[in-house]
Amino acid sequence: VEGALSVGLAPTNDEPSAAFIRLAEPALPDAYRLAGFLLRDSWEAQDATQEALLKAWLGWPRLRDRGSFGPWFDRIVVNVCKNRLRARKGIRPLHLDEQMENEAGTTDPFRSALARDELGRLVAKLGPDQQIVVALRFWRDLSLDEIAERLDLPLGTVKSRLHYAVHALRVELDRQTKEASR
Amino acid sequence: MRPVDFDEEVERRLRAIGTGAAPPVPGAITRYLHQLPEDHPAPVRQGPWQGAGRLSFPRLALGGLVAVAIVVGAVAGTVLMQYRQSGGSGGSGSSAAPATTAASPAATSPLTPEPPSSETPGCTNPPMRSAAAAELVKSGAVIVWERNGGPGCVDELYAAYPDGRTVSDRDGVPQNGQVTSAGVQAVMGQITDAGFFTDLFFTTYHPPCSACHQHSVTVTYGSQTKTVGIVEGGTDGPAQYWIVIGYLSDLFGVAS
Repeated sequence: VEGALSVGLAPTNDEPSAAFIRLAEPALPDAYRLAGFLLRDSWEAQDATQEALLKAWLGWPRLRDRGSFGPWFDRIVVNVCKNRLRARKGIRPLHLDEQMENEAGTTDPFRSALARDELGRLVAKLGPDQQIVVALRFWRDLSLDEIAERLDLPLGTVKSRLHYAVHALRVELDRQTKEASR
Repeated sequence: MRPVDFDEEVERRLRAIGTGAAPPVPGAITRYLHQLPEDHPAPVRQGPWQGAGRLSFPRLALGGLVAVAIVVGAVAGTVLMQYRQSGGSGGSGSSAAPATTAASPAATSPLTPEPPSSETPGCTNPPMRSAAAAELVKSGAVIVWERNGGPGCVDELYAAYPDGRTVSDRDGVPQNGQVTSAGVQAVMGQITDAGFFTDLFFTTYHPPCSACHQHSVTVTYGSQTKTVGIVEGGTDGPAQYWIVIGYLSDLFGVAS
């Protein structure tokens, strides 16, 4: 028997908690990295990953096909991050000056990676939906089909969001280059 | 020489940002994962009829068809039984009349409600305490459940707070209780997943039978607050409502 019947309802020797941990643990590095690049803060990424784990655990009985744990968990992480990005609207987080961070030895790995290129900073100016497709495509290395599956969106919508996101970044980069050359 | 495509350049630079050694997963996350099953109640695997926690249209349609088939079958059976009892003559004063007139079909039909008798005392359900429920919500309660009537003719009000505190008022006797904060959160998640904040949950009413409870559930989740009422003994209400009542019975330790 294929799919839900064999995977979701067939008895297993695993305790639910053991099965959950067995699938969730290998997914943690990618989840934490995705949350870090989206939220630009390792502490908040840690919170978001834990929140996603809790949601996944509570929703575990509804996951029929255990084979699709990865995309399902990614979707939860993305939704948690999206909610956090939306909640930030109107709130401007104050980060320590990078020099101060370096002196204190507390450089945030995600912020410093994003600060390596001006584009990294500009991504934060995109809307949450565009930031998510950029992160999934370039920092999580997923194909467009895989992104569509995770976001539960038509492929065309993903392509369009990515196109407009890259276009917006290019326009902003052009503008800054012109201003600098004046 | 091929000119540089600026979009490609943007994409290359974006990709380069993500390359390099990935930051290791903090140990706190791994510890949290291993602690999760202990800190939070083990989720229960739902039956296939519950699906993804929501009733889809095909499932509702199938359920409706089954219900209609049962009712039609019951009516047809009753009519057939009456026809046989009346000797198959159409019930117009045949020779079998003495046997059937003694207990007329209308009086023996299982579909005819029995008149109230002293052996089955009825319950006049007290009015729902919506003002008290609103006060509890105002005080920070995230779940407020009221039920009244039923075989015991009860009048009960329960509320749970996010910190796990519970209050109840059973027939005028107030009582405080404590469950875990995680327990309340888990039930909140279950209620939300059942579709409480969707249009699948709506208030219905019909006059309650003498053994039927009347329920009212108010849930506050984030910025949303919704109250849904229902009366037992009918098919007019959302089927998932009874699953929510089950969650609440477990949370407040109430025998349903």
